[in-house]
Amino acid sequence: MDKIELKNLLFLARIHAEEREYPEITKKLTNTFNLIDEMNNLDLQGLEPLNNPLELNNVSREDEEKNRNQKDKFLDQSPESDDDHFMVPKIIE
Amino acid sequence: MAQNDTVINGWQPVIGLEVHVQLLTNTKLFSPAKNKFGEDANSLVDLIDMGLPGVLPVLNEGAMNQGIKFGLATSAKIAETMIFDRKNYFYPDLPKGYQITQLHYPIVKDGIVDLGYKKVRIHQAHLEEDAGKSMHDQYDSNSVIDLNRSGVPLLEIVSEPDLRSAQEAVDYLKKIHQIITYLDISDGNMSQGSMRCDANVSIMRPDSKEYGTRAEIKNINSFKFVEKAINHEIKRQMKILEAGGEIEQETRLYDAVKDETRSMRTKEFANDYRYFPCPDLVPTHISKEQIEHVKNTMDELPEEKEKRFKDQYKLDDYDSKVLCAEKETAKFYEEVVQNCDPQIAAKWIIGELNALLNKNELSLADSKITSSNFAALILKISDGTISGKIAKDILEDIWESGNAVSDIIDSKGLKQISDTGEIEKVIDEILENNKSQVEAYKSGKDKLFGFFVGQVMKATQGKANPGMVNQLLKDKLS
Repeated sequence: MDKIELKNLLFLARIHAEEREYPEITKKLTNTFNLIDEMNNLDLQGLEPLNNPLELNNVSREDEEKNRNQKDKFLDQSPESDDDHFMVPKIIE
Repeated sequence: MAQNDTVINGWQPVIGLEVHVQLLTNTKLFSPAKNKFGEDANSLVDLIDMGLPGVLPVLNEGAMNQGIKFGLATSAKIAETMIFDRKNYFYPDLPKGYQITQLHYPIVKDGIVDLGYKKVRIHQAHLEEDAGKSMHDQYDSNSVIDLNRSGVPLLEIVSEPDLRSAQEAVDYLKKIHQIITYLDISDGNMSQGSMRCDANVSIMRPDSKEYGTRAEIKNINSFKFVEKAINHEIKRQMKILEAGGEIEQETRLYDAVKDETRSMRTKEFANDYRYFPCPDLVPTHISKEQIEHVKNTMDELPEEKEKRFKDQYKLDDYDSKVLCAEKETAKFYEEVVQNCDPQIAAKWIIGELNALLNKNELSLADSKITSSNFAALILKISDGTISGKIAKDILEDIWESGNAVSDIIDSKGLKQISDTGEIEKVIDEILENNKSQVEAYKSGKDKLFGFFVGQVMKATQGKANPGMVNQLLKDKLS
Protein backbone atom coordinates (compact mmCIF):
# COMPACT_ATOMS: atom_id res chain seq x y z
CA MET A 1 0.00 0.00 0.00
CA ASP A 2 1.47 3.34 -0.96
CA LYS A 3 1.08 6.73 0.64
CA ILE A 4 -1.66 7.87 -1.75
CA GLU A 5 -3.80 4.84 -0.98
CA LEU A 6 -3.32 5.37 2.71
CA LYS A 7 -4.27 9.03 2.46
CA ASN A 8 -7.39 8.06 0.55
CA LEU A 9 -8.39 5.57 3.24
CA LEU A 10 -7.81 8.08 5.99
CA PHE A 11 -9.93 10.58 4.13
CA LEU A 12 -12.81 8.14 3.56
CA ALA A 13 -12.81 7.22 7.24
CA ARG A 14 -12.38 10.86 8.28
CA ILE A 15 -9.42 9.87 10.43
CA HIS A 16 -6.56 12.23 11.00
CA ALA A 17 -3.03 10.86 11.25
CA GLU A 18 0.35 12.55 11.34
CA GLU A 19 2.74 11.74 8.59
CA ARG A 20 5.17 10.13 11.08
CA GLU A 21 2.44 7.64 12.00
CA TYR A 22 2.09 6.45 8.40
CA PRO A 23 4.70 3.67 8.46
CA GLU A 24 3.13 2.06 11.54
CA ILE A 25 -0.42 2.29 10.13
CA THR A 26 0.75 0.99 6.77
CA LYS A 27 2.36 -2.01 8.43
CA LYS A 28 -0.81 -2.91 10.36
CA LEU A 29 -3.07 -2.41 7.41
CA THR A 30 -0.84 -4.44 5.14
CA ASN A 31 -1.25 -7.36 7.54
CA THR A 32 -5.00 -7.01 7.31
CA PHE A 33 -4.92 -6.77 3.53
CA ASN A 34 -2.77 -9.88 3.35
CA LEU A 35 -5.40 -11.75 5.32
CA ILE A 36 -8.10 -10.52 2.94
CA ASP A 37 -5.93 -11.58 -0.02
CA GLU A 38 -5.71 -15.05 1.45
CA MET A 39 -9.51 -15.20 1.61
CA ASN A 40 -9.79 -13.85 -1.90
CA ASN A 41 -7.65 -16.73 -3.14
CA LEU A 42 -9.99 -19.39 -1.75
CA ASP A 43 -12.12 -21.24 -4.30
CA LEU A 44 -15.65 -20.23 -3.31
CA GLN A 45 -17.42 -21.12 -6.51
CA GLY A 46 -20.95 -22.31 -5.99
CA LEU A 47 -21.07 -21.08 -2.40
CA GLU A 48 -23.71 -18.62 -1.27
CA PRO A 49 -22.11 -15.66 0.50
CA LEU A 50 -22.79 -15.60 4.22
CA ASN A 51 -24.57 -12.33 4.80
CA ASN A 52 -25.12 -12.85 8.46
CA PRO A 53 -23.93 -15.59 10.79
CA LEU A 54 -27.24 -15.60 12.66
CA GLU A 55 -29.83 -17.91 11.17
CA LEU A 56 -32.68 -15.64 12.05
CA ASN A 57 -35.42 -13.99 10.06
CA ASN A 58 -35.48 -10.24 10.42
CA VAL A 59 -38.32 -8.83 12.49
CA SER A 60 -40.57 -6.13 11.14
CA ARG A 61 -43.17 -3.85 12.65
CA GLU A 62 -46.58 -2.62 11.57
CA ASP A 63 -46.71 0.73 9.84
CA GLU A 64 -47.99 2.59 12.90
CA GLU A 65 -46.81 5.96 14.06
CA LYS A 66 -45.26 6.39 17.49
CA ASN A 67 -44.25 9.93 18.12
CA ARG A 68 -41.00 9.96 19.99
CA ASN A 69 -40.05 13.36 18.68
CA GLN A 70 -37.89 15.40 21.04
CA LYS A 71 -37.03 18.22 18.73
CA ASP A 72 -35.80 20.66 21.36
CA LYS A 73 -33.70 18.06 23.12
CA PHE A 74 -32.18 16.97 19.84
CA LEU A 75 -31.39 20.51 18.78
CA ASP A 76 -29.94 21.32 22.22
CA GLN A 77 -27.47 18.49 21.89
CA SER A 78 -26.09 19.60 18.59
CA PRO A 79 -23.02 21.87 18.54
CA GLU A 80 -24.97 24.62 16.83
CA SER A 81 -28.66 25.15 16.07
CA ASP A 82 -31.33 27.78 15.57
CA ASP A 83 -34.96 27.37 16.70
CA ASP A 84 -35.78 24.81 14.06
CA HIS A 85 -32.62 23.50 12.47
CA PHE A 86 -29.30 21.87 13.04
CA MET A 87 -26.62 24.25 11.86
CA VAL A 88 -23.49 23.10 10.11
CA PRO A 89 -20.67 24.86 8.28
CA LYS A 90 -21.73 26.00 4.80
CA ILE A 91 -21.80 22.91 2.59
CA ILE A 92 -21.76 24.55 -0.81
CA GLU A 93 -19.48 27.36 -1.74
CA MET B 1 -42.20 4.66 -32.41
CA ALA B 2 -39.93 2.52 -34.55
CA GLN B 3 -36.43 1.83 -33.28
CA ASN B 4 -34.57 3.24 -36.28
CA ASP B 5 -36.24 6.63 -35.82
CA THR B 6 -34.15 7.15 -32.74
CA VAL B 7 -30.78 7.42 -34.50
CA ILE B 8 -29.64 11.06 -34.62
CA ASN B 9 -26.98 12.06 -37.16
CA GLY B 10 -25.58 8.54 -37.14
CA TRP B 11 -25.62 8.19 -33.35
CA GLN B 12 -27.80 5.85 -31.31
CA PRO B 13 -28.62 7.17 -27.83
CA VAL B 14 -28.75 4.56 -25.06
CA ILE B 15 -30.57 5.56 -21.87
CA GLY B 16 -31.33 3.95 -18.55
CA LEU B 17 -33.29 5.62 -15.76
CA GLU B 18 -33.05 5.40 -12.00
CA VAL B 19 -36.30 6.55 -10.48
CA HIS B 20 -36.56 7.26 -6.76
CA VAL B 21 -40.08 7.00 -5.44
CA GLN B 22 -41.06 8.13 -1.94
CA LEU B 23 -43.43 5.55 -0.53
CA LEU B 24 -46.78 6.56 0.95
CA THR B 25 -46.36 4.94 4.32
CA ASN B 26 -47.49 6.29 7.69
CA THR B 27 -44.02 5.95 9.14
CA LYS B 28 -40.40 5.83 8.10
CA LEU B 29 -38.54 2.80 6.78
CA PHE B 30 -36.82 1.92 10.04
CA SER B 31 -38.36 4.23 12.64
CA PRO B 32 -41.92 4.87 13.86
CA ALA B 33 -41.68 8.61 13.17
CA LYS B 34 -44.33 10.04 10.87
CA ASN B 35 -43.66 10.16 7.13
CA LYS B 36 -45.13 13.43 5.94
CA PHE B 37 -44.13 16.29 3.65
CA GLY B 38 -44.27 19.93 4.66
CA GLU B 39 -44.35 19.71 8.48
CA ASP B 40 -42.34 21.88 10.89
CA ALA B 41 -38.62 21.30 10.41
CA ASN B 42 -37.18 18.53 12.57
CA SER B 43 -40.55 17.71 14.15
CA LEU B 44 -40.79 14.23 12.61
CA VAL B 45 -37.57 12.83 13.92
CA ASP B 46 -37.05 9.72 15.98
CA LEU B 47 -33.94 8.63 17.89
CA ILE B 48 -33.32 6.21 15.03
CA ASP B 49 -33.42 8.96 12.41
CA MET B 50 -30.97 10.95 14.49
CA GLY B 51 -28.55 8.07 14.24
CA LEU B 52 -27.95 8.10 17.97
CA PRO B 53 -25.69 5.37 19.33
CA GLY B 54 -27.37 2.20 20.54
CA VAL B 55 -30.60 2.47 18.56
CA LEU B 56 -31.71 -0.34 16.28
CA PRO B 57 -33.63 -0.02 13.02
CA VAL B 58 -36.84 -2.09 12.73
CA LEU B 59 -38.22 -2.66 9.24
CA ASN B 60 -41.59 -1.15 8.34
CA GLU B 61 -43.88 -3.90 7.00
CA GLY B 62 -45.94 -1.36 5.06
CA ALA B 63 -42.93 -0.25 3.04
CA MET B 64 -42.01 -3.87 2.36
CA ASN B 65 -45.52 -4.63 1.12
CA GLN B 66 -45.48 -1.62 -1.18
CA GLY B 67 -42.24 -2.88 -2.71
CA ILE B 68 -43.87 -6.27 -3.23
CA LYS B 69 -46.83 -4.56 -4.91
CA PHE B 70 -44.55 -2.84 -7.38
CA GLY B 71 -42.86 -6.16 -8.14
CA LEU B 72 -46.20 -7.86 -8.77
CA ALA B 73 -47.38 -5.02 -11.00
CA THR B 74 -44.27 -5.32 -13.20
CA SER B 75 -44.27 -9.15 -13.39
CA ALA B 76 -40.97 -9.16 -11.53
CA LYS B 77 -39.28 -11.65 -9.23
CA ILE B 78 -39.92 -10.92 -5.56
CA ALA B 79 -36.95 -11.84 -3.40
CA GLU B 80 -37.31 -14.87 -1.15
CA THR B 81 -34.60 -13.27 0.94
CA MET B 82 -33.68 -9.62 0.79
CA ILE B 83 -30.68 -8.10 2.48
CA PHE B 84 -30.02 -4.54 3.57
CA ASP B 85 -26.59 -3.04 3.06
CA ARG B 86 -24.86 0.04 4.33
CA LYS B 87 -23.69 2.59 1.82
CA ASN B 88 -21.12 4.71 3.61
CA TYR B 89 -20.52 8.38 3.01
CA PHE B 90 -20.28 11.53 5.07
CA TYR B 91 -22.71 14.34 4.54
CA PRO B 92 -24.41 16.53 7.15
CA ASP B 93 -27.93 15.44 6.19
CA LEU B 94 -27.01 11.78 6.80
CA PRO B 95 -26.58 11.54 10.56
CA LYS B 96 -25.57 7.88 10.69
CA GLY B 97 -22.78 8.28 8.14
CA TYR B 98 -24.39 5.58 6.02
CA GLN B 99 -27.59 5.00 4.13
CA ILE B 100 -29.35 1.67 4.57
CA THR B 101 -30.11 0.35 1.09
CA GLN B 102 -30.12 -2.93 -0.85
CA LEU B 103 -27.30 -3.74 -3.25
CA HIS B 104 -27.08 -7.44 -4.17
CA TYR B 105 -30.35 -8.78 -2.78
CA PRO B 106 -33.03 -6.21 -3.60
CA ILE B 107 -36.72 -6.80 -2.91
CA VAL B 108 -37.58 -6.79 -6.64
CA LYS B 109 -35.65 -8.07 -9.66
CA ASP B 110 -36.22 -8.52 -13.40
CA GLY B 111 -39.48 -6.68 -14.03
CA ILE B 112 -41.10 -5.49 -17.24
CA VAL B 113 -42.72 -2.13 -17.96
CA ASP B 114 -44.82 -2.17 -21.12
CA LEU B 115 -44.91 1.13 -23.03
CA GLY B 116 -47.27 -0.29 -25.65
CA TYR B 117 -44.72 0.04 -28.46
CA LYS B 118 -41.87 -1.52 -26.50
CA LYS B 119 -41.14 -3.43 -23.33
CA VAL B 120 -38.57 -1.93 -20.98
CA ARG B 121 -36.79 -4.24 -18.57
CA ILE B 122 -36.51 -3.33 -14.90
CA HIS B 123 -33.13 -4.43 -13.61
CA GLN B 124 -34.19 -4.14 -9.99
CA ALA B 125 -36.13 -2.10 -7.46
CA HIS B 126 -34.78 -1.78 -3.96
CA LEU B 127 -35.80 -0.28 -0.65
CA GLU B 128 -33.69 2.42 0.92
CA GLU B 129 -33.83 5.40 3.24
CA ASP B 130 -34.03 8.98 2.10
CA ALA B 131 -31.56 11.50 3.51
CA GLY B 132 -32.45 14.68 5.38
CA LYS B 133 -32.63 18.03 3.66
CA SER B 134 -29.88 20.65 3.63
CA MET B 135 -30.67 24.30 2.99
CA HIS B 136 -28.10 26.90 2.20
CA ASP B 137 -29.84 30.24 1.90
CA GLN B 138 -30.74 31.18 5.47
CA TYR B 139 -27.29 32.11 6.73
CA ASP B 140 -24.12 33.42 5.18
CA SER B 141 -21.70 31.04 6.77
CA ASN B 142 -23.90 28.09 7.70
CA SER B 143 -26.11 25.54 6.08
CA VAL B 144 -29.07 24.20 8.05
CA ILE B 145 -30.40 20.66 8.27
CA ASP B 146 -33.98 19.38 8.49
CA LEU B 147 -34.16 15.69 9.30
CA ASN B 148 -37.91 15.19 8.68
CA ARG B 149 -37.10 13.41 5.43
CA SER B 150 -34.33 11.38 7.01
CA GLY B 151 -35.38 7.73 6.92
CA VAL B 152 -38.41 8.18 4.67
CA PRO B 153 -38.81 4.97 2.64
CA LEU B 154 -37.76 5.10 -0.99
CA LEU B 155 -38.14 2.54 -3.72
CA GLU B 156 -35.38 3.02 -6.26
CA ILE B 157 -36.43 1.59 -9.60
CA VAL B 158 -33.51 0.87 -11.92
CA SER B 159 -34.20 0.18 -15.58
CA GLU B 160 -31.94 -1.68 -17.99
CA PRO B 161 -30.41 0.61 -20.67
CA ASP B 162 -33.33 -0.19 -22.97
CA LEU B 163 -34.45 3.34 -23.81
CA ARG B 164 -33.31 4.84 -27.10
CA SER B 165 -34.56 8.44 -27.09
CA ALA B 166 -35.54 11.23 -24.73
CA GLN B 167 -39.17 10.65 -25.75
CA GLU B 168 -38.97 6.97 -24.78
CA ALA B 169 -37.50 8.01 -21.44
CA VAL B 170 -40.44 10.37 -20.86
CA ASP B 171 -42.94 7.65 -21.83
CA TYR B 172 -41.24 5.23 -19.45
CA LEU B 173 -41.25 7.75 -16.61
CA LYS B 174 -44.94 8.50 -17.18
CA LYS B 175 -45.68 4.78 -17.12
CA ILE B 176 -43.81 4.38 -13.81
CA HIS B 177 -45.78 7.34 -12.49
CA GLN B 178 -49.01 5.72 -13.59
CA ILE B 179 -48.11 2.38 -11.97
CA ILE B 180 -47.09 3.83 -8.60
CA THR B 181 -50.13 6.08 -8.37
CA TYR B 182 -52.47 3.24 -9.38
CA LEU B 183 -50.88 1.07 -6.71
CA ASP B 184 -51.23 3.92 -4.19
CA ILE B 185 -47.65 3.38 -3.11
CA SER B 186 -46.63 6.99 -3.87
CA ASP B 187 -48.25 10.28 -4.77
CA GLY B 188 -45.64 10.60 -7.53
CA ASN B 189 -45.43 14.34 -7.04
CA MET B 190 -42.29 15.38 -8.90
CA SER B 191 -42.33 19.02 -7.81
CA GLN B 192 -42.38 18.00 -4.12
CA GLY B 193 -39.65 15.45 -4.75
CA SER B 194 -41.69 12.32 -4.08
CA MET B 195 -40.59 11.09 -7.50
CA ARG B 196 -37.06 11.91 -8.66
CA CYS B 197 -35.11 10.75 -11.61
CA ASP B 198 -31.48 10.27 -12.63
CA ALA B 199 -30.65 9.39 -16.23
CA ASN B 200 -27.68 7.40 -17.53
CA VAL B 201 -26.99 8.57 -21.05
CA SER B 202 -24.50 7.36 -23.64
CA ILE B 203 -24.34 7.28 -27.43
CA MET B 204 -22.90 4.76 -29.89
CA ARG B 205 -22.82 3.99 -33.59
CA PRO B 206 -25.96 2.00 -34.50
CA ASP B 207 -23.91 -1.04 -35.61
CA SER B 208 -21.71 -0.98 -32.49
CA LYS B 209 -21.78 -3.98 -30.16
CA GLU B 210 -20.63 -1.99 -27.15
CA TYR B 211 -22.30 0.88 -25.37
CA GLY B 212 -20.41 4.15 -25.17
CA THR B 213 -19.16 5.67 -21.92
CA ARG B 214 -22.10 7.06 -20.01
CA ALA B 215 -22.70 10.17 -18.02
CA GLU B 216 -25.19 10.21 -15.16
CA ILE B 217 -27.47 13.23 -15.03
CA LYS B 218 -28.93 14.05 -11.64
CA ASN B 219 -31.55 16.43 -10.37
CA ILE B 220 -34.27 15.98 -12.96
CA ASN B 221 -37.55 16.95 -11.35
CA SER B 222 -40.20 17.17 -14.06
CA PHE B 223 -41.30 15.22 -17.13
CA LYS B 224 -40.39 18.17 -19.32
CA PHE B 225 -36.89 18.40 -17.91
CA VAL B 226 -36.26 14.69 -18.47
CA GLU B 227 -36.70 15.24 -22.17
CA LYS B 228 -34.68 18.45 -22.27
CA ALA B 229 -31.85 17.21 -20.07
CA ILE B 230 -31.41 14.00 -22.07
CA ASN B 231 -31.55 15.74 -25.43
CA HIS B 232 -29.06 18.27 -24.22
CA GLU B 233 -26.72 15.54 -22.99
CA ILE B 234 -26.98 13.58 -26.27
CA LYS B 235 -25.97 16.71 -28.20
CA ARG B 236 -23.09 17.42 -25.85
CA GLN B 237 -21.70 13.91 -26.26
CA MET B 238 -22.12 13.98 -30.05
CA LYS B 239 -20.13 17.19 -30.22
CA ILE B 240 -17.27 15.75 -28.16
CA LEU B 241 -17.08 12.45 -30.05
CA GLU B 242 -17.31 14.08 -33.47
CA ALA B 243 -14.42 16.35 -32.54
CA GLY B 244 -12.40 13.23 -31.76
CA GLY B 245 -12.70 13.55 -28.00
CA GLU B 246 -13.69 11.06 -25.32
CA ILE B 247 -16.63 11.03 -22.94
CA GLU B 248 -15.68 11.09 -19.31
CA GLN B 249 -17.67 8.82 -17.01
CA GLU B 250 -19.03 11.34 -14.55
CA THR B 251 -22.02 12.73 -12.75
CA ARG B 252 -23.59 15.82 -14.25
CA LEU B 253 -26.20 18.13 -12.83
CA TYR B 254 -29.10 19.39 -14.91
CA ASP B 255 -29.69 23.12 -14.64
CA ALA B 256 -33.27 23.82 -15.73
CA VAL B 257 -32.78 27.57 -15.85
CA LYS B 258 -29.85 27.49 -18.24
CA ASP B 259 -31.05 24.25 -19.89
CA GLU B 260 -27.65 22.62 -19.65
CA THR B 261 -25.90 19.85 -17.79
CA ARG B 262 -22.66 20.56 -16.04
CA SER B 263 -20.11 18.45 -14.31
CA MET B 264 -20.55 18.20 -10.57
CA ARG B 265 -17.47 19.25 -8.63
CA THR B 266 -14.80 16.79 -9.62
CA LYS B 267 -13.98 14.85 -6.52
CA GLU B 268 -10.39 14.45 -5.57
CA PHE B 269 -11.08 10.85 -4.72
CA ALA B 270 -13.37 8.50 -6.51
CA ASN B 271 -16.56 7.62 -4.66
CA ASP B 272 -16.03 4.60 -2.54
CA TYR B 273 -19.16 3.71 -0.66
CA ARG B 274 -17.72 0.59 0.98
CA TYR B 275 -20.98 -1.33 0.90
CA PHE B 276 -21.39 -4.15 3.38
CA PRO B 277 -24.39 -6.04 4.80
CA CYS B 278 -25.99 -4.04 7.59
CA PRO B 279 -25.24 -5.96 10.77
CA ASP B 280 -28.27 -4.41 12.50
CA LEU B 281 -30.66 -6.15 10.14
CA VAL B 282 -30.50 -9.87 9.55
CA PRO B 283 -31.73 -11.23 6.19
CA THR B 284 -35.46 -10.72 5.65
CA HIS B 285 -37.45 -13.62 4.22
CA ILE B 286 -40.56 -12.95 2.21
CA SER B 287 -43.02 -15.83 2.31
CA LYS B 288 -45.36 -16.92 -0.47
CA GLU B 289 -48.22 -16.24 1.94
CA GLN B 290 -47.13 -12.64 2.39
CA ILE B 291 -46.91 -12.13 -1.37
CA GLU B 292 -50.33 -13.74 -1.81
CA HIS B 293 -51.75 -11.48 0.90
CA VAL B 294 -50.37 -8.37 -0.81
CA LYS B 295 -51.71 -9.56 -4.16
CA ASN B 296 -55.20 -9.79 -2.68
CA THR B 297 -55.09 -6.19 -1.49
CA MET B 298 -54.01 -4.81 -4.87
CA ASP B 299 -56.24 -2.55 -6.91
CA GLU B 300 -56.85 -2.96 -10.61
CA LEU B 301 -53.89 -1.97 -12.79
CA PRO B 302 -54.21 0.50 -15.70
CA GLU B 303 -54.33 -2.15 -18.45
CA GLU B 304 -56.96 -4.17 -16.59
CA LYS B 305 -59.05 -1.07 -16.05
CA GLU B 306 -58.80 -0.03 -19.70
CA LYS B 307 -59.99 -3.45 -20.79
CA ARG B 308 -62.88 -3.43 -18.33
CA PHE B 309 -63.92 0.08 -19.40
CA LYS B 310 -64.07 -1.06 -23.03
CA ASP B 311 -66.23 -4.07 -22.14
CA GLN B 312 -68.41 -2.53 -19.48
CA TYR B 313 -69.03 0.94 -20.92
CA LYS B 314 -68.55 0.13 -24.60
CA LEU B 315 -65.77 2.67 -25.04
CA ASP B 316 -63.20 2.59 -27.83
CA ASP B 317 -59.45 2.09 -27.27
CA TYR B 318 -58.65 5.78 -27.25
CA ASP B 319 -61.36 6.86 -24.81
CA SER B 320 -60.64 4.11 -22.31
CA LYS B 321 -56.91 4.83 -22.50
CA VAL B 322 -57.39 8.55 -21.85
CA LEU B 323 -59.84 7.94 -19.01
CA CYS B 324 -57.49 5.42 -17.37
CA ALA B 325 -54.30 7.44 -17.84
CA GLU B 326 -54.73 8.73 -14.32
CA LYS B 327 -56.38 6.79 -11.54
CA GLU B 328 -58.14 9.91 -10.32
CA THR B 329 -59.84 10.47 -13.70
CA ALA B 330 -60.90 6.83 -13.97
CA LYS B 331 -62.42 6.95 -10.50
CA PHE B 332 -64.25 10.17 -11.31
CA TYR B 333 -65.60 8.66 -14.53
CA GLU B 334 -66.95 5.61 -12.74
CA GLU B 335 -68.68 7.77 -10.16
CA VAL B 336 -70.23 9.89 -12.91
CA VAL B 337 -71.54 7.03 -15.03
CA GLN B 338 -73.44 5.44 -12.20
CA ASN B 339 -76.25 7.79 -13.10
CA CYS B 340 -75.82 8.73 -16.73
CA ASP B 341 -74.86 7.74 -20.24
CA PRO B 342 -71.29 6.34 -20.25
CA GLN B 343 -70.43 7.47 -23.76
CA ILE B 344 -71.64 11.05 -23.39
CA ALA B 345 -69.87 11.25 -20.03
CA ALA B 346 -66.64 9.95 -21.60
CA LYS B 347 -66.84 12.49 -24.40
CA TRP B 348 -67.34 15.39 -21.99
CA ILE B 349 -64.61 14.36 -19.57
CA ILE B 350 -62.06 13.79 -22.33
CA GLY B 351 -63.02 16.94 -24.19
CA GLU B 352 -64.34 19.87 -22.20
CA LEU B 353 -63.38 18.90 -18.66
CA ASN B 354 -59.81 17.92 -19.58
CA ALA B 355 -59.44 21.16 -21.51
CA LEU B 356 -60.44 23.15 -18.43
CA LEU B 357 -58.10 21.17 -16.19
CA ASN B 358 -55.18 21.61 -18.57
CA LYS B 359 -55.85 25.28 -19.12
CA ASN B 360 -55.91 25.96 -15.40
CA GLU B 361 -53.22 23.42 -14.57
CA LEU B 362 -55.38 21.88 -11.88
CA SER B 363 -56.12 18.32 -10.86
CA LEU B 364 -59.70 17.12 -10.46
CA ALA B 365 -59.29 16.96 -6.71
CA ASP B 366 -58.28 20.62 -6.59
CA SER B 367 -61.13 21.77 -8.82
CA LYS B 368 -64.71 22.59 -7.84
CA ILE B 369 -66.10 19.88 -10.10
CA THR B 370 -67.74 17.03 -8.22
CA SER B 371 -68.75 13.75 -9.82
CA SER B 372 -72.41 14.14 -8.81
CA ASN B 373 -72.70 17.66 -10.23
CA PHE B 374 -70.93 16.60 -13.42
CA ALA B 375 -73.28 13.62 -13.74
CA ALA B 376 -76.21 16.03 -13.35
CA LEU B 377 -74.83 18.07 -16.24
CA ILE B 378 -74.50 14.98 -18.47
CA LEU B 379 -78.08 14.00 -17.60
CA LYS B 380 -79.37 17.44 -18.65
CA ILE B 381 -77.51 17.07 -21.94
CA SER B 382 -78.81 13.59 -22.68
CA ASP B 383 -82.43 14.34 -21.80
CA GLY B 384 -82.40 17.44 -24.01
CA THR B 385 -82.91 20.02 -21.27
CA ILE B 386 -79.84 21.92 -22.44
CA SER B 387 -77.89 22.07 -25.67
CA GLY B 388 -74.20 21.25 -25.95
CA LYS B 389 -73.31 24.89 -26.24
CA ILE B 390 -75.20 25.84 -23.11
CA ALA B 391 -73.69 22.84 -21.35
CA LYS B 392 -70.23 24.27 -22.04
CA ASP B 393 -71.24 27.56 -20.45
CA ILE B 394 -72.68 25.77 -17.44
CA LEU B 395 -69.52 23.70 -17.07
CA GLU B 396 -67.49 26.88 -16.97
CA ASP B 397 -69.90 28.27 -14.41
CA ILE B 398 -69.50 25.18 -12.21
CA TRP B 399 -65.77 25.43 -12.69
CA GLU B 400 -65.80 28.93 -11.23
CA SER B 401 -68.60 28.69 -8.68
CA GLY B 402 -69.10 25.03 -7.85
CA ASN B 403 -72.90 25.70 -7.91
CA ALA B 404 -75.36 22.91 -8.64
CA VAL B 405 -76.25 22.42 -12.30
CA SER B 406 -80.01 22.67 -11.73
CA ASP B 407 -79.60 25.97 -9.85
CA ILE B 408 -77.54 27.45 -12.66
CA ILE B 409 -80.10 26.39 -15.26
CA ASP B 410 -82.95 27.87 -13.24
CA SER B 411 -81.28 31.09 -12.21
CA LYS B 412 -79.95 31.86 -15.67
CA GLY B 413 -83.00 30.58 -17.52
CA LEU B 414 -80.85 28.35 -19.66
CA LYS B 415 -83.35 25.62 -20.19
CA GLN B 416 -83.38 24.44 -23.77
CA ILE B 417 -86.42 25.48 -25.78
CA SER B 418 -87.97 22.31 -27.15
CA ASP B 419 -91.45 23.67 -27.67
CA THR B 420 -92.34 23.54 -31.38
CA GLY B 421 -94.66 26.54 -31.22
CA GLU B 422 -92.13 28.71 -29.50
CA ILE B 423 -89.34 27.88 -31.93
CA GLU B 424 -91.65 28.32 -34.93
CA LYS B 425 -92.55 31.79 -33.72
CA VAL B 426 -88.89 32.80 -33.65
CA ILE B 427 -88.22 31.25 -37.07
CA ASP B 428 -91.16 33.03 -38.67
CA GLU B 429 -89.95 36.33 -37.35
CA ILE B 430 -86.44 35.79 -38.69
CA LEU B 431 -87.62 34.69 -42.13
CA GLU B 432 -89.87 37.74 -42.23
CA ASN B 433 -86.97 40.08 -41.41
CA ASN B 434 -84.55 38.48 -43.88
CA LYS B 435 -86.53 38.21 -47.04
CA SER B 436 -83.64 38.73 -49.42
CA GLN B 437 -81.66 35.87 -47.81
CA VAL B 438 -84.72 33.63 -48.09
CA GLU B 439 -84.91 34.42 -51.80
CA ALA B 440 -81.21 33.74 -52.28
CA TYR B 441 -81.49 30.44 -50.41
CA LYS B 442 -84.42 29.32 -52.45
CA SER B 443 -82.56 30.12 -55.65
CA GLY B 444 -79.78 27.71 -54.68
CA LYS B 445 -77.49 29.36 -52.12
CA ASP B 446 -77.58 26.33 -49.74
CA LYS B 447 -74.89 27.74 -47.54
CA LEU B 448 -77.30 30.34 -46.18
CA PHE B 449 -78.97 27.61 -44.15
CA GLY B 450 -76.29 28.07 -41.50
CA PHE B 451 -77.09 31.78 -41.40
CA PHE B 452 -80.72 31.08 -40.49
CA VAL B 453 -79.71 28.58 -37.80
CA GLY B 454 -77.32 31.16 -36.38
CA GLN B 455 -80.03 33.82 -36.29
CA VAL B 456 -82.44 31.52 -34.45
CA MET B 457 -79.77 30.61 -31.93
CA LYS B 458 -78.90 34.26 -31.45
CA ALA B 459 -82.53 35.18 -30.90
CA THR B 460 -82.98 32.41 -28.33
CA GLN B 461 -79.56 32.95 -26.71
CA GLY B 462 -78.53 29.49 -27.78
CA LYS B 463 -81.38 27.83 -25.95
CA ALA B 464 -83.33 26.46 -28.91
CA ASN B 465 -83.01 22.72 -29.40
CA PRO B 466 -80.64 22.55 -32.40
CA GLY B 467 -82.19 19.39 -33.85
CA MET B 468 -85.64 20.93 -33.83
CA VAL B 469 -84.38 24.22 -35.27
CA ASN B 470 -82.83 22.35 -38.20
CA GLN B 471 -85.95 20.35 -38.88
CA LEU B 472 -88.39 23.27 -38.61
CA LEU B 473 -86.20 25.53 -40.75
CA LYS B 474 -85.96 22.87 -43.44
CA ASP B 475 -89.74 22.49 -43.45
CA LYS B 476 -90.34 26.21 -43.65
CA LEU B 477 -87.76 26.90 -46.35
CA SER B 478 -88.80 24.07 -48.64
